[in-house]
Amino acid sequence: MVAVMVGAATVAFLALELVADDPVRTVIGLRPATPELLAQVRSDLGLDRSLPERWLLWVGGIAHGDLGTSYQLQRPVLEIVGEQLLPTVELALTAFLLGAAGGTLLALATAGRRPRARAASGAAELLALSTPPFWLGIVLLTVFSFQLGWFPVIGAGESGLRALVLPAVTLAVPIAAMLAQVLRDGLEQALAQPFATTARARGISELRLRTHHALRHALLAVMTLSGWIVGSLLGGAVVVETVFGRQGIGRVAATAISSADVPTVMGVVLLSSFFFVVVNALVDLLYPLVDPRLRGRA
Amino acid sequence: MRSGVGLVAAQGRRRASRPALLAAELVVLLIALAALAPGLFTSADPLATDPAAAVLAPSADHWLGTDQQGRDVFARVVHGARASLEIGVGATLVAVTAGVLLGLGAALAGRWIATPLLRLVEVLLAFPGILLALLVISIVGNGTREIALAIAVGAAPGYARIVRAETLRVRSAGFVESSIALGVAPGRIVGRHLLPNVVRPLLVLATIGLGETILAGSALSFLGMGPKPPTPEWGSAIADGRDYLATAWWISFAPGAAIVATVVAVTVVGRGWHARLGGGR
Repeated sequence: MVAVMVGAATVAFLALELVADDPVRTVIGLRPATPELLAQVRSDLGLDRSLPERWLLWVGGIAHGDLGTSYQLQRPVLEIVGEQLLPTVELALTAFLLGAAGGTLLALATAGRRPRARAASGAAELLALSTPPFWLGIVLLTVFSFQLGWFPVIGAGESGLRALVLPAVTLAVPIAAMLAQVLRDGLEQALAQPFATTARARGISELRLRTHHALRHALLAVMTLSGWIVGSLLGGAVVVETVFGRQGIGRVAATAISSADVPTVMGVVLLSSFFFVVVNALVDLLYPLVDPRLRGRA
Repeated sequence: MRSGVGLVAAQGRRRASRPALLAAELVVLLIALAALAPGLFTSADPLATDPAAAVLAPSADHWLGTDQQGRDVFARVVHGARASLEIGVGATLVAVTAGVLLGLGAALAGRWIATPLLRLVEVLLAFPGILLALLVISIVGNGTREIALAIAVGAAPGYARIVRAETLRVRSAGFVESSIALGVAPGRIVGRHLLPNVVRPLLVLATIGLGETILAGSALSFLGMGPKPPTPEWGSAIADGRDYLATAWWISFAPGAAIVATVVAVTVVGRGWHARLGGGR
Protein backbone atom coordinates (compact mmCIF):
# COMPACT_ATOMS: atom_id res chain seq x y z
CA MET A 1 0.00 0.00 0.00
CA VAL A 2 2.82 2.39 0.90
CA ALA A 3 4.64 1.27 -2.25
CA VAL A 4 1.60 2.10 -4.34
CA MET A 5 1.37 5.53 -2.74
CA VAL A 6 5.04 6.26 -3.38
CA GLY A 7 4.51 5.08 -6.96
CA ALA A 8 1.52 7.37 -7.34
CA ALA A 9 3.53 10.26 -5.95
CA THR A 10 6.30 9.45 -8.43
CA VAL A 11 3.87 9.46 -11.34
CA ALA A 12 2.63 12.83 -10.11
CA PHE A 13 6.21 14.05 -9.78
CA LEU A 14 7.10 13.03 -13.34
CA ALA A 15 3.95 14.69 -14.62
CA LEU A 16 4.94 17.91 -12.85
CA GLU A 17 8.42 17.65 -14.37
CA LEU A 18 6.88 17.47 -17.83
CA VAL A 19 5.39 20.92 -17.40
CA ALA A 20 8.29 22.37 -15.42
CA ASP A 21 8.79 25.23 -17.85
CA ASP A 22 5.30 26.58 -17.58
CA PRO A 23 5.16 27.19 -13.80
CA VAL A 24 7.96 29.73 -14.06
CA ARG A 25 5.91 31.61 -16.60
CA THR A 26 2.71 31.25 -14.54
CA VAL A 27 4.39 32.59 -11.41
CA ILE A 28 6.04 35.49 -13.22
CA GLY A 29 2.81 36.42 -14.89
CA LEU A 30 2.98 39.90 -16.40
CA ARG A 31 6.20 41.01 -14.72
CA PRO A 32 9.16 41.50 -17.09
CA ALA A 33 11.12 38.22 -17.29
CA THR A 34 14.62 39.43 -16.37
CA PRO A 35 17.30 36.74 -15.95
CA GLU A 36 17.54 37.51 -12.21
CA LEU A 37 13.81 37.12 -11.70
CA LEU A 38 13.82 33.88 -13.73
CA ALA A 39 16.65 32.48 -11.60
CA GLN A 40 14.90 33.64 -8.42
CA VAL A 41 11.63 31.94 -9.36
CA ARG A 42 13.42 28.79 -10.49
CA SER A 43 15.19 28.49 -7.14
CA ASP A 44 11.96 29.31 -5.26
CA LEU A 45 10.31 26.44 -7.08
CA GLY A 46 13.36 24.25 -6.48
CA LEU A 47 13.91 23.79 -10.18
CA ASP A 48 17.66 24.45 -9.88
CA ARG A 49 18.27 21.18 -8.06
CA SER A 50 18.97 17.80 -9.66
CA LEU A 51 16.14 15.45 -10.60
CA PRO A 52 16.71 12.79 -7.89
CA GLU A 53 17.09 15.56 -5.31
CA ARG A 54 13.75 17.07 -6.31
CA TRP A 55 12.13 13.65 -6.26
CA LEU A 56 13.31 13.06 -2.69
CA LEU A 57 12.08 16.50 -1.63
CA TRP A 58 8.72 15.93 -3.29
CA VAL A 59 8.08 12.49 -1.82
CA GLY A 60 9.40 13.61 1.57
CA GLY A 61 7.18 16.67 1.42
CA ILE A 62 4.12 14.55 0.69
CA ALA A 63 4.94 12.30 3.63
CA HIS A 64 4.76 15.47 5.76
CA GLY A 65 1.54 16.60 4.15
CA ASP A 66 3.18 19.14 1.86
CA LEU A 67 1.58 18.94 -1.56
CA GLY A 68 3.32 21.94 -3.05
CA THR A 69 2.05 25.41 -3.85
CA SER A 70 -0.69 26.38 -6.25
CA TYR A 71 0.68 28.34 -9.21
CA GLN A 72 -2.54 30.24 -9.49
CA LEU A 73 -3.33 31.19 -5.91
CA GLN A 74 0.22 31.10 -4.50
CA ARG A 75 -0.98 29.18 -1.46
CA PRO A 76 -0.24 25.67 -0.19
CA VAL A 77 -2.33 23.13 -2.09
CA LEU A 78 -3.16 21.26 1.10
CA GLU A 79 -4.73 24.41 2.56
CA ILE A 80 -6.85 25.03 -0.53
CA VAL A 81 -8.00 21.42 -0.66
CA GLY A 82 -8.59 21.33 3.08
CA GLU A 83 -10.95 24.32 2.94
CA GLN A 84 -13.01 22.73 0.21
CA LEU A 85 -13.05 19.21 1.56
CA LEU A 86 -16.14 19.44 3.74
CA PRO A 87 -18.77 20.24 1.07
CA THR A 88 -17.46 17.41 -1.11
CA VAL A 89 -17.42 14.90 1.74
CA GLU A 90 -20.95 15.95 2.64
CA LEU A 91 -22.09 15.52 -0.97
CA ALA A 92 -20.29 12.22 -1.53
CA LEU A 93 -21.45 10.71 1.74
CA THR A 94 -25.08 11.68 1.16
CA ALA A 95 -24.92 10.38 -2.39
CA PHE A 96 -23.35 7.12 -1.26
CA LEU A 97 -26.01 6.54 1.42
CA LEU A 98 -28.80 7.36 -1.01
CA GLY A 99 -27.29 5.14 -3.70
CA ALA A 100 -26.68 2.26 -1.31
CA ALA A 101 -30.21 2.45 0.09
CA GLY A 102 -31.81 2.72 -3.35
CA GLY A 103 -29.72 -0.05 -4.89
CA THR A 104 -30.32 -2.41 -1.97
CA LEU A 105 -34.07 -1.86 -1.95
CA LEU A 106 -34.27 -2.34 -5.71
CA ALA A 107 -32.25 -5.55 -5.59
CA LEU A 108 -34.19 -6.96 -2.62
CA ALA A 109 -37.46 -6.20 -4.36
CA THR A 110 -36.60 -7.64 -7.77
CA ALA A 111 -34.20 -10.55 -7.16
CA GLY A 112 -35.73 -13.80 -8.34
CA ARG A 113 -39.10 -12.21 -8.95
CA ARG A 114 -41.18 -12.18 -12.10
CA PRO A 115 -39.13 -11.84 -15.30
CA ARG A 116 -40.98 -8.69 -16.28
CA ALA A 117 -40.09 -6.83 -13.09
CA ARG A 118 -36.47 -7.87 -13.44
CA ALA A 119 -36.36 -6.84 -17.09
CA ALA A 120 -37.86 -3.44 -16.30
CA SER A 121 -35.43 -2.90 -13.47
CA GLY A 122 -32.54 -4.07 -15.65
CA ALA A 123 -33.51 -1.63 -18.39
CA ALA A 124 -33.76 1.22 -15.88
CA GLU A 125 -30.31 0.34 -14.51
CA LEU A 126 -28.78 0.29 -18.00
CA LEU A 127 -30.36 3.65 -18.72
CA ALA A 128 -29.07 5.10 -15.46
CA LEU A 129 -25.54 3.85 -16.10
CA SER A 130 -25.60 5.23 -19.65
CA THR A 131 -26.63 8.72 -18.60
CA PRO A 132 -23.89 11.31 -18.15
CA PRO A 133 -24.20 12.54 -14.54
CA PHE A 134 -23.79 16.18 -15.54
CA TRP A 135 -26.68 15.88 -17.96
CA LEU A 136 -28.84 14.12 -15.39
CA GLY A 137 -28.07 17.02 -13.06
CA ILE A 138 -29.14 19.49 -15.72
CA VAL A 139 -32.37 17.62 -16.38
CA LEU A 140 -33.13 17.52 -12.64
CA LEU A 141 -32.35 21.23 -12.36
CA THR A 142 -34.64 22.01 -15.28
CA VAL A 143 -37.54 19.99 -13.93
CA PHE A 144 -37.33 20.52 -10.16
CA SER A 145 -35.70 23.92 -9.84
CA PHE A 146 -36.79 25.83 -12.92
CA GLN A 147 -40.16 24.26 -13.72
CA LEU A 148 -41.44 23.17 -10.32
CA GLY A 149 -39.34 25.47 -8.15
CA TRP A 150 -38.97 22.86 -5.38
CA PHE A 151 -35.23 23.29 -4.92
CA PRO A 152 -32.90 26.31 -5.03
CA VAL A 153 -31.16 26.86 -8.35
CA ILE A 154 -27.69 27.69 -7.13
CA GLY A 155 -25.51 25.84 -4.75
CA ALA A 156 -24.87 25.28 -1.09
CA GLY A 157 -24.84 27.95 1.57
CA GLU A 158 -28.28 29.32 0.83
CA SER A 159 -30.36 26.57 2.36
CA GLY A 160 -27.92 23.78 3.12
CA LEU A 161 -29.99 20.64 3.14
CA ARG A 162 -32.36 21.54 0.36
CA ALA A 163 -29.48 22.55 -1.89
CA LEU A 164 -27.90 19.17 -1.25
CA VAL A 165 -30.82 17.09 -2.54
CA LEU A 166 -30.46 17.39 -6.31
CA PRO A 167 -26.65 17.08 -6.48
CA ALA A 168 -26.73 14.07 -4.17
CA VAL A 169 -29.50 12.39 -6.16
CA THR A 170 -27.56 13.02 -9.38
CA LEU A 171 -24.49 11.30 -7.96
CA ALA A 172 -26.52 8.51 -6.34
CA VAL A 173 -28.38 7.34 -9.44
CA PRO A 174 -25.51 5.51 -11.21
CA ILE A 175 -24.34 4.06 -7.87
CA ALA A 176 -27.80 2.73 -7.08
CA ALA A 177 -28.03 1.21 -10.56
CA MET A 178 -24.65 -0.51 -10.39
CA LEU A 179 -25.31 -1.76 -6.85
CA ALA A 180 -28.73 -3.07 -7.79
CA GLN A 181 -27.29 -5.05 -10.71
CA VAL A 182 -24.51 -6.68 -8.74
CA LEU A 183 -26.55 -7.18 -5.60
CA ARG A 184 -29.40 -8.83 -7.48
CA ASP A 185 -27.02 -11.27 -9.13
CA GLY A 186 -25.56 -12.06 -5.73
CA LEU A 187 -29.00 -12.44 -4.12
CA GLU A 188 -30.21 -14.74 -6.85
CA GLN A 189 -27.17 -16.95 -6.48
CA ALA A 190 -27.65 -17.06 -2.72
CA LEU A 191 -31.37 -17.79 -2.98
CA ALA A 192 -30.60 -20.76 -5.26
CA GLN A 193 -28.40 -22.36 -2.59
CA PRO A 194 -29.57 -25.31 -0.49
CA PHE A 195 -29.49 -23.19 2.69
CA ALA A 196 -32.19 -20.97 1.25
CA THR A 197 -34.39 -24.01 0.60
CA THR A 198 -33.74 -25.24 4.14
CA ALA A 199 -34.63 -21.88 5.62
CA ARG A 200 -37.83 -21.76 3.58
CA ALA A 201 -38.71 -25.28 4.67
CA ARG A 202 -38.39 -24.12 8.28
CA GLY A 203 -41.11 -21.61 7.49
CA ILE A 204 -39.06 -18.43 7.45
CA SER A 205 -40.73 -15.47 5.81
CA GLU A 206 -39.47 -14.54 2.35
CA LEU A 207 -38.50 -11.04 3.53
CA ARG A 208 -36.52 -12.36 6.48
CA LEU A 209 -34.80 -14.92 4.24
CA ARG A 210 -33.70 -12.15 1.94
CA THR A 211 -32.61 -9.61 4.53
CA HIS A 212 -31.10 -11.96 7.11
CA HIS A 213 -29.63 -14.78 5.05
CA ALA A 214 -29.17 -13.98 1.37
CA LEU A 215 -28.14 -10.33 1.71
CA ARG A 216 -24.97 -11.16 3.60
CA HIS A 217 -23.84 -13.48 0.81
CA ALA A 218 -24.61 -10.91 -1.83
CA LEU A 219 -22.66 -8.26 0.11
CA LEU A 220 -19.40 -9.97 -0.83
CA ALA A 221 -19.97 -9.28 -4.51
CA VAL A 222 -20.88 -5.68 -3.69
CA MET A 223 -17.70 -5.09 -1.74
CA THR A 224 -15.61 -5.68 -4.84
CA LEU A 225 -17.45 -2.65 -6.24
CA SER A 226 -16.00 -0.30 -3.63
CA GLY A 227 -13.26 0.90 -5.96
CA TRP A 228 -15.74 1.66 -8.70
CA ILE A 229 -18.00 3.51 -6.27
CA VAL A 230 -15.23 5.70 -4.88
CA GLY A 231 -14.03 6.51 -8.39
CA SER A 232 -17.56 7.30 -9.47
CA LEU A 233 -18.12 9.60 -6.47
CA LEU A 234 -14.85 11.48 -6.97
CA GLY A 235 -15.16 11.83 -10.74
CA GLY A 236 -18.84 12.64 -10.38
CA ALA A 237 -18.07 15.35 -7.83
CA VAL A 238 -16.02 17.24 -10.42
CA VAL A 239 -18.89 17.57 -12.88
CA VAL A 240 -21.77 17.70 -10.41
CA GLU A 241 -20.19 20.50 -8.38
CA THR A 242 -19.71 22.42 -11.61
CA VAL A 243 -23.29 21.85 -12.76
CA PHE A 244 -24.82 22.89 -9.45
CA GLY A 245 -22.32 25.66 -8.73
CA ARG A 246 -21.33 24.02 -5.44
CA GLN A 247 -18.10 24.49 -3.52
CA GLY A 248 -15.80 21.50 -3.20
CA ILE A 249 -12.60 19.85 -4.27
CA GLY A 250 -14.12 18.71 -7.56
CA ARG A 251 -14.74 22.34 -8.44
CA VAL A 252 -11.22 23.22 -7.30
CA ALA A 253 -9.87 20.54 -9.66
CA ALA A 254 -12.00 21.69 -12.58
CA THR A 255 -10.92 25.32 -12.14
CA ALA A 256 -7.28 24.37 -11.65
CA ILE A 257 -7.30 22.37 -14.87
CA SER A 258 -8.68 25.20 -16.92
CA SER A 259 -5.96 27.50 -15.58
CA ALA A 260 -3.23 24.84 -15.99
CA ASP A 261 -2.53 24.94 -12.24
CA VAL A 262 -0.87 21.52 -12.21
CA PRO A 263 0.18 21.33 -8.51
CA THR A 264 -3.42 21.87 -7.43
CA VAL A 265 -4.74 19.24 -9.85
CA MET A 266 -2.01 16.95 -8.63
CA GLY A 267 -2.88 17.59 -5.01
CA VAL A 268 -6.52 16.68 -5.57
CA VAL A 269 -5.58 13.61 -7.59
CA LEU A 270 -3.03 12.43 -5.04
CA LEU A 271 -5.37 12.91 -2.09
CA SER A 272 -8.11 11.09 -4.01
CA SER A 273 -5.88 8.18 -4.86
CA PHE A 274 -4.73 8.03 -1.26
CA PHE A 275 -8.35 7.88 -0.17
CA PHE A 276 -9.02 5.27 -2.86
CA VAL A 277 -6.18 3.05 -1.63
CA VAL A 278 -7.28 3.41 1.99
CA VAL A 279 -10.88 2.48 1.17
CA ASN A 280 -9.73 -0.57 -0.78
CA ALA A 281 -7.54 -1.64 2.15
CA LEU A 282 -10.43 -1.16 4.60
CA VAL A 283 -12.72 -3.22 2.40
CA ASP A 284 -10.14 -6.00 2.35
CA LEU A 285 -10.22 -5.93 6.15
CA LEU A 286 -14.01 -6.11 6.11
CA TYR A 287 -14.21 -9.32 4.07
CA PRO A 288 -13.67 -11.68 7.02
CA LEU A 289 -16.24 -9.76 9.07
CA VAL A 290 -18.89 -10.30 6.42
CA ASP A 291 -17.86 -13.83 5.51
CA PRO A 292 -16.89 -16.05 8.46
CA ARG A 293 -15.52 -18.61 6.01
CA LEU A 294 -12.64 -16.24 5.30
CA ARG A 295 -11.70 -15.93 8.98
CA GLY A 296 -8.48 -17.46 10.20
CA ARG A 297 -7.34 -18.01 6.67
CA ALA A 298 -5.20 -14.92 6.37
CA MET B 1 -13.95 4.15 -16.44
CA ARG B 2 -11.50 1.40 -16.19
CA SER B 3 -12.84 -0.69 -13.36
CA GLY B 4 -16.21 -0.60 -15.09
CA VAL B 5 -15.05 -2.67 -18.05
CA GLY B 6 -14.79 -5.85 -16.08
CA LEU B 7 -17.89 -5.10 -14.06
CA VAL B 8 -20.20 -4.54 -16.97
CA ALA B 9 -18.78 -7.63 -18.63
CA ALA B 10 -19.74 -9.58 -15.55
CA GLN B 11 -23.31 -8.71 -16.35
CA GLY B 12 -22.96 -10.40 -19.74
CA ARG B 13 -25.07 -13.27 -18.53
CA ARG B 14 -28.08 -11.02 -18.67
CA ARG B 15 -28.37 -11.27 -22.38
CA ALA B 16 -30.53 -8.88 -24.34
CA SER B 17 -33.36 -10.40 -26.34
CA ARG B 18 -32.85 -10.78 -30.07
CA PRO B 19 -35.04 -7.84 -31.15
CA ALA B 20 -33.41 -5.58 -28.55
CA LEU B 21 -29.96 -6.53 -29.83
CA LEU B 22 -31.04 -5.90 -33.42
CA ALA B 23 -32.51 -2.52 -32.51
CA ALA B 24 -29.32 -1.59 -30.70
CA GLU B 25 -27.21 -2.64 -33.68
CA LEU B 26 -29.40 -0.46 -35.88
CA VAL B 27 -28.95 2.55 -33.58
CA VAL B 28 -25.18 2.05 -33.57
CA LEU B 29 -25.25 1.87 -37.37
CA LEU B 30 -27.27 5.10 -37.62
CA ILE B 31 -24.95 6.94 -35.25
CA ALA B 32 -21.90 5.72 -37.16
CA LEU B 33 -23.55 6.96 -40.36
CA ALA B 34 -24.23 10.33 -38.75
CA ALA B 35 -20.56 10.57 -37.83
CA LEU B 36 -19.37 9.62 -41.32
CA ALA B 37 -21.99 11.34 -43.48
CA PRO B 38 -24.07 13.82 -41.44
CA GLY B 39 -25.44 15.23 -44.70
CA LEU B 40 -27.65 12.15 -45.00
CA PHE B 41 -29.72 13.23 -42.01
CA THR B 42 -29.87 17.00 -42.22
CA SER B 43 -29.18 19.65 -44.80
CA ALA B 44 -28.93 22.40 -42.18
CA ASP B 45 -25.50 23.85 -41.45
CA PRO B 46 -24.53 23.20 -37.80
CA LEU B 47 -22.39 26.34 -37.74
CA ALA B 48 -24.78 28.77 -39.43
CA THR B 49 -25.88 31.37 -36.87
CA ASP B 50 -29.08 33.35 -37.27
CA PRO B 51 -29.79 35.93 -34.53
CA ALA B 52 -33.34 36.36 -35.81
CA ALA B 53 -34.07 32.68 -35.15
CA ALA B 54 -32.36 32.35 -31.73
CA VAL B 55 -33.78 30.14 -28.97
CA LEU B 56 -36.74 28.87 -30.99
CA ALA B 57 -38.77 25.99 -29.57
CA PRO B 58 -38.86 22.73 -31.55
CA SER B 59 -40.99 23.09 -34.67
CA ALA B 60 -41.36 21.66 -38.17
CA ASP B 61 -38.53 23.88 -39.43
CA HIS B 62 -36.20 23.14 -36.54
CA TRP B 63 -37.05 19.68 -35.23
CA LEU B 64 -35.18 20.19 -31.99
CA GLY B 65 -35.37 23.98 -31.91
CA THR B 66 -32.46 26.42 -32.16
CA ASP B 67 -29.80 27.51 -29.67
CA GLN B 68 -28.89 30.98 -28.39
CA GLN B 69 -27.10 31.79 -31.64
CA GLY B 70 -29.92 30.56 -33.85
CA ARG B 71 -28.11 27.38 -34.86
CA ASP B 72 -30.24 24.34 -35.60
CA VAL B 73 -30.00 21.99 -32.60
CA PHE B 74 -30.81 18.87 -34.64
CA ALA B 75 -28.03 19.67 -37.12
CA ARG B 76 -25.60 20.20 -34.24
CA VAL B 77 -26.57 16.91 -32.63
CA VAL B 78 -26.14 15.03 -35.94
CA HIS B 79 -22.82 16.72 -36.74
CA GLY B 80 -21.70 16.37 -33.12
CA ALA B 81 -21.66 12.58 -33.51
CA ARG B 82 -18.31 12.79 -35.27
CA ALA B 83 -16.31 14.53 -32.52
CA SER B 84 -18.01 12.53 -29.76
CA LEU B 85 -17.33 9.21 -31.49
CA GLU B 86 -13.79 10.24 -32.42
CA ILE B 87 -13.06 10.76 -28.74
CA GLY B 88 -14.71 7.52 -27.66
CA VAL B 89 -13.35 5.29 -30.43
CA GLY B 90 -9.93 6.95 -30.42
CA ALA B 91 -9.57 6.58 -26.66
CA THR B 92 -10.67 2.94 -26.77
CA LEU B 93 -8.27 2.07 -29.61
CA VAL B 94 -5.32 3.71 -27.86
CA ALA B 95 -6.27 2.15 -24.52
CA VAL B 96 -6.63 -1.35 -26.00
CA THR B 97 -3.36 -1.10 -27.93
CA ALA B 98 -1.47 0.17 -24.89
CA GLY B 99 -3.21 -2.43 -22.74
CA VAL B 100 -2.18 -5.27 -25.07
CA LEU B 101 1.44 -4.13 -25.16
CA LEU B 102 1.65 -3.57 -21.39
CA GLY B 103 -0.22 -6.77 -20.62
CA LEU B 104 1.82 -8.96 -22.97
CA GLY B 105 5.01 -7.39 -21.65
CA ALA B 106 4.02 -7.92 -18.03
CA ALA B 107 3.08 -11.54 -18.75
CA LEU B 108 5.84 -12.68 -21.10
CA ALA B 109 8.94 -10.49 -20.74
CA GLY B 110 11.82 -11.33 -18.47
CA ARG B 111 11.60 -10.42 -14.82
CA TRP B 112 13.56 -7.18 -15.26
CA ILE B 113 10.98 -5.80 -17.68
CA ALA B 114 7.85 -7.55 -16.44
CA THR B 115 8.12 -6.50 -12.80
CA PRO B 116 8.43 -2.75 -13.45
CA LEU B 117 5.59 -2.98 -16.00
CA LEU B 118 3.41 -4.77 -13.50
CA ARG B 119 4.22 -2.19 -10.81
CA LEU B 120 3.40 0.61 -13.26
CA VAL B 121 0.02 -0.94 -13.99
CA GLU B 122 -0.66 -1.34 -10.26
CA VAL B 123 0.23 2.27 -9.55
CA LEU B 124 -1.95 3.53 -12.39
CA LEU B 125 -4.79 1.39 -11.07
CA ALA B 126 -4.45 3.23 -7.77
CA PHE B 127 -5.90 6.34 -9.43
CA PRO B 128 -9.57 6.43 -10.32
CA GLY B 129 -9.54 6.56 -14.14
CA ILE B 130 -11.34 9.88 -14.45
CA LEU B 131 -8.78 11.58 -12.20
CA LEU B 132 -5.93 10.19 -14.27
CA ALA B 133 -7.65 11.67 -17.31
CA LEU B 134 -7.98 15.08 -15.61
CA LEU B 135 -4.31 14.95 -14.69
CA VAL B 136 -3.30 14.24 -18.29
CA ILE B 137 -5.53 17.04 -19.57
CA SER B 138 -3.98 19.54 -17.17
CA ILE B 139 -0.63 18.67 -18.75
CA VAL B 140 -1.38 18.25 -22.45
CA GLY B 141 -4.14 20.85 -22.72
CA ASN B 142 -7.57 20.83 -24.36
CA GLY B 143 -8.81 19.32 -27.60
CA THR B 144 -10.35 16.24 -29.19
CA ARG B 145 -7.10 14.29 -29.41
CA GLU B 146 -5.98 15.40 -25.97
CA ILE B 147 -9.22 14.18 -24.38
CA ALA B 148 -8.96 10.85 -26.21
CA LEU B 149 -5.40 10.42 -24.98
CA ALA B 150 -6.33 11.39 -21.43
CA ILE B 151 -9.17 8.88 -21.27
CA ALA B 152 -6.97 6.22 -22.84
CA VAL B 153 -4.40 6.70 -20.07
CA GLY B 154 -7.17 6.17 -17.54
CA ALA B 155 -8.54 3.08 -19.28
CA ALA B 156 -5.36 1.32 -20.42
CA PRO B 157 -4.33 -0.14 -17.03
CA GLY B 158 -7.63 -2.01 -16.80
CA TYR B 159 -7.10 -3.57 -20.21
CA ALA B 160 -3.47 -4.34 -19.36
CA ARG B 161 -4.58 -6.28 -16.30
CA ILE B 162 -7.07 -8.30 -18.34
CA VAL B 163 -4.53 -8.98 -21.12
CA ARG B 164 -1.93 -10.11 -18.61
CA ALA B 165 -4.31 -12.51 -16.88
CA GLU B 166 -5.58 -13.80 -20.21
CA THR B 167 -2.05 -14.24 -21.59
CA LEU B 168 -0.95 -16.18 -18.54
CA ARG B 169 -4.01 -18.40 -18.93
CA VAL B 170 -3.46 -19.06 -22.64
CA ARG B 171 0.29 -19.38 -22.10
CA SER B 172 -0.25 -22.47 -19.98
CA ALA B 173 -2.78 -24.01 -22.39
CA GLY B 174 -1.87 -27.31 -24.03
CA PHE B 175 -1.56 -25.98 -27.56
CA VAL B 176 0.92 -23.32 -26.55
CA GLU B 177 2.97 -25.73 -24.46
CA SER B 178 3.13 -28.15 -27.40
CA SER B 179 4.12 -25.35 -29.81
CA ILE B 180 6.98 -24.50 -27.49
CA ALA B 181 7.94 -28.17 -27.29
CA LEU B 182 7.87 -28.38 -31.10
CA GLY B 183 10.34 -25.50 -31.24
CA VAL B 184 8.06 -22.92 -32.87
CA ALA B 185 9.66 -19.47 -32.81
CA PRO B 186 8.48 -17.34 -29.83
CA GLY B 187 7.38 -14.48 -32.10
CA ARG B 188 5.23 -16.86 -34.10
CA ILE B 189 3.66 -18.30 -30.96
CA VAL B 190 2.74 -14.82 -29.76
CA GLY B 191 1.41 -13.76 -33.17
CA ARG B 192 -0.43 -16.93 -34.15
CA HIS B 193 -1.53 -18.45 -30.86
CA LEU B 194 -1.47 -15.96 -28.02
CA LEU B 195 -2.66 -12.72 -29.59
CA PRO B 196 -5.77 -14.07 -31.35
CA ASN B 197 -6.92 -15.80 -28.18
CA VAL B 198 -6.25 -12.76 -26.03
CA VAL B 199 -7.57 -10.09 -28.39
CA ARG B 200 -10.86 -11.71 -29.32
CA PRO B 201 -12.46 -11.47 -25.87
CA LEU B 202 -10.76 -8.11 -25.41
CA LEU B 203 -12.44 -6.62 -28.47
CA VAL B 204 -15.84 -7.51 -27.07
CA LEU B 205 -14.91 -5.94 -23.73
CA ALA B 206 -13.72 -2.88 -25.63
CA THR B 207 -17.16 -2.55 -27.24
CA ILE B 208 -18.70 -2.37 -23.78
CA GLY B 209 -15.86 -0.08 -22.66
CA LEU B 210 -16.60 2.21 -25.62
CA GLY B 211 -19.80 3.32 -23.92
CA GLU B 212 -17.81 4.33 -20.87
CA THR B 213 -15.20 6.25 -22.87
CA ILE B 214 -17.95 8.13 -24.70
CA LEU B 215 -19.45 9.07 -21.33
CA ALA B 216 -16.08 10.16 -19.95
CA GLY B 217 -15.29 12.12 -23.12
CA SER B 218 -18.57 13.98 -22.98
CA ALA B 219 -17.95 14.84 -19.31
CA LEU B 220 -14.52 16.30 -20.06
CA SER B 221 -15.75 18.28 -23.00
CA PHE B 222 -18.71 19.47 -20.92
CA LEU B 223 -16.10 20.93 -18.56
CA GLY B 224 -14.69 22.84 -21.52
CA MET B 225 -11.72 20.60 -22.24
CA GLY B 226 -12.89 19.30 -25.60
CA PRO B 227 -12.77 20.57 -29.19
CA LYS B 228 -12.82 24.35 -29.52
CA PRO B 229 -16.16 26.00 -30.21
CA PRO B 230 -17.96 26.22 -32.56
CA THR B 231 -17.14 22.58 -33.41
CA PRO B 232 -20.33 20.65 -32.60
CA GLU B 233 -19.79 18.09 -29.84
CA TRP B 234 -22.40 16.59 -27.51
CA GLY B 235 -20.76 17.35 -24.18
CA SER B 236 -19.95 20.96 -25.02
CA ALA B 237 -23.41 21.40 -26.56
CA ILE B 238 -24.92 20.49 -23.19
CA ALA B 239 -22.70 23.12 -21.57
CA ASP B 240 -23.87 25.66 -24.18
CA GLY B 241 -27.47 25.28 -23.06
CA ARG B 242 -26.76 25.52 -19.33
CA ASP B 243 -27.62 29.20 -19.10
CA TYR B 244 -30.94 28.69 -20.85
CA LEU B 245 -32.40 25.86 -18.80
CA ALA B 246 -35.29 27.94 -17.52
CA THR B 247 -36.44 29.06 -20.98
CA ALA B 248 -34.92 26.74 -23.60
CA TRP B 249 -34.39 23.29 -22.10
CA TRP B 250 -34.08 21.67 -25.55
CA ILE B 251 -30.58 23.07 -26.19
CA SER B 252 -29.09 20.92 -23.42
CA PHE B 253 -31.64 18.14 -23.58
CA ALA B 254 -31.15 16.98 -27.18
CA PRO B 255 -27.39 16.30 -27.13
CA GLY B 256 -27.73 14.56 -23.76
CA ALA B 257 -30.39 12.27 -25.16
CA ALA B 258 -28.03 11.50 -28.05
CA ILE B 259 -25.32 10.48 -25.58
CA VAL B 260 -27.71 8.27 -23.62
CA ALA B 261 -29.00 6.59 -26.80
CA THR B 262 -25.47 5.96 -28.05
CA VAL B 263 -24.16 4.55 -24.80
CA VAL B 264 -27.21 2.32 -24.27
CA ALA B 265 -26.98 0.99 -27.83
CA VAL B 266 -23.22 0.38 -27.67
CA THR B 267 -23.54 -1.37 -24.30
CA VAL B 268 -26.40 -3.62 -25.45
CA VAL B 269 -24.45 -4.54 -28.59
CA GLY B 270 -21.32 -5.22 -26.55
CA ARG B 271 -23.20 -7.41 -24.09
CA GLY B 272 -24.95 -9.22 -26.93
CA TRP B 273 -21.67 -10.02 -28.64
CA HIS B 274 -20.16 -10.98 -25.30
CA ALA B 275 -22.97 -13.48 -24.76
CA ARG B 276 -22.57 -14.77 -28.32
CA LEU B 277 -18.89 -15.39 -27.72
CA GLY B 278 -19.78 -17.69 -24.88
CA GLY B 279 -20.42 -15.32 -21.99
CA GLY B 280 -16.98 -14.70 -20.61
CA ARG B 281 -14.44 -17.09 -19.30
